[in-house]
Amino acid sequence: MSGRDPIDRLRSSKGEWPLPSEALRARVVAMPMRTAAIGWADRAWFSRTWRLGMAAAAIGLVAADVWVASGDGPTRAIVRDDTERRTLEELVRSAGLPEDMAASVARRSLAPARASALDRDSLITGGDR
Amino acid sequence: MTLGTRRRRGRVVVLSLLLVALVGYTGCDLWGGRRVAKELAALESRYGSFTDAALSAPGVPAPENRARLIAAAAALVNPGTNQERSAISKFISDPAPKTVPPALRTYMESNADAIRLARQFVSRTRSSFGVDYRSSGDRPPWFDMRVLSHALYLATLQSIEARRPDEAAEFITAGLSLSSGGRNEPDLIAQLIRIAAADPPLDALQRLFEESDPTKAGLEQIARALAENREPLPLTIGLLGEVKHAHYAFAILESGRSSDITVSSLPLPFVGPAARLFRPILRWAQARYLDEAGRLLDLQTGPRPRATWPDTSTPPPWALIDRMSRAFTDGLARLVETGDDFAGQLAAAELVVALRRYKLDHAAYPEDLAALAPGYLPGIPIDPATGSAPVYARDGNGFTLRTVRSARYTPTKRPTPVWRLTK
Repeated sequence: MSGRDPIDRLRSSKGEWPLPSEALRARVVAMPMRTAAIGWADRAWFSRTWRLGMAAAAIGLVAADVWVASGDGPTRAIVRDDTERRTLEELVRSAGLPEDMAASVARRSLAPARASALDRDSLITGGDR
Repeated sequence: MTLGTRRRRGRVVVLSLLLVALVGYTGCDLWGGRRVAKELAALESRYGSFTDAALSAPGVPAPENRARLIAAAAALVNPGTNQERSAISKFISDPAPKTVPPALRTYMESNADAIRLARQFVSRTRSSFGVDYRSSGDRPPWFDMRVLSHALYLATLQSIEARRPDEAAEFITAGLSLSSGGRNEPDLIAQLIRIAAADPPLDALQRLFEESDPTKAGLEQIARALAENREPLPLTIGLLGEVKHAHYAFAILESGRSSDITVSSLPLPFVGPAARLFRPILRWAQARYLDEAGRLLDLQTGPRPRATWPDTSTPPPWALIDRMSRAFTDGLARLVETGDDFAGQLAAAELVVALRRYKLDHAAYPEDLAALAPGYLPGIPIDPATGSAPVYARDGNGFTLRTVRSARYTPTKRPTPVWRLTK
């Protein structure tokens, strides 16, 4: 097996390249054309409608998030937690702990959620907590 | 020397340095671990196991458990608006004689169901919230309990105004029972809530004696509630719980897991790996913390008047280990003072109730406190500030009982350190 570079061999080869035969040429021309396979993902990705739709959805989600945060439900829960945390923090601070430690103790002492008044009977008689 | 030789030499030097660093790291880690084990053994020999499966109050069967009644009453509490809460706080902290204003009466009435349930607290003597204080996120409703104690205070004052001393005595008993409901909880904030919840009924008790004469039955009920709150001392169980919690937090950090606990405001994903990397330093800090915590617990459980706690200055920024251990102990010594103030208040209240009961039986107050034991009290409680009984003196038909409070005690706070009864 020759160790020469194939490119060098081609450059140094004598004569013209042989042309394909008429039969081969006719067979290739007669072959059916195959179109490139374009999937739905390609169509969506290059669609202006899809891009605008995505941008609008993102803006809509951010707006909805802002709106929900300013609504009654979540805000009430946050305010209650904050009041509870501040009350406990003040209590611990007034007992003598410095501010940062009082904050840490209060943070880990928050109740998970307020028990419903409807749970009263199970609380009294021993339903599982 | 060829390039290849120089590269090989560099690699050998770097690897050797890495090896030395690893040996140093492991040595420091092992040494730190041994120090922690030594300090822990010393603490456990004095205060019991620190490695219990759970850090919680002993279990109590549900039908006997007062904590369940408390949780139920807390669920019924109307926490009120910010304005209402600040008006109540202002009203409670005013030491002057007072009547309940109409706005607060309306607020109190909105808590009628919770107050009604609170009157049943006394029917159950054992209490456990069944919470494991080592984990985060599952805590008794401390905030609502504090609100409930304020509502009970308003109800008591209203009964005193309406000249219904026995009803007032019943509300005072409910308030004290609410406080003692958390007496077995091994948690610092539980014990601070216990102290805070005892303040309003003790203030109301002082006002009750100033303005009316509760019957013997009412006094006996209050005496039982006071005695129930005597043991264990809040700061003994609270500090022990805090030290156990900190020990647990250190152990979790050292293992590189941090999701189980609320350690700090640091971003949690980085706390675990960083803590594992700096484990030798953490272990040294833990050993120093356990040493200081042991001295603090000795101070809390030691004789009264207590020894002076050295007020050390803040460590410099480069003293990393000192700063880390101080982050867990800073200010805890001041809590011992708060606990002593509570014990002094409780001792005075117990003595005053016993003195009134004595007077109902003998038509006059005794000349000396010693006459109260064992008939009215198992022993004469001491004022922790002095280490001896509060100072008692007959004053005409009445008496004066003086206790001493810490320097941090607000001079206008109720109940005042001096109980003066004229009849």
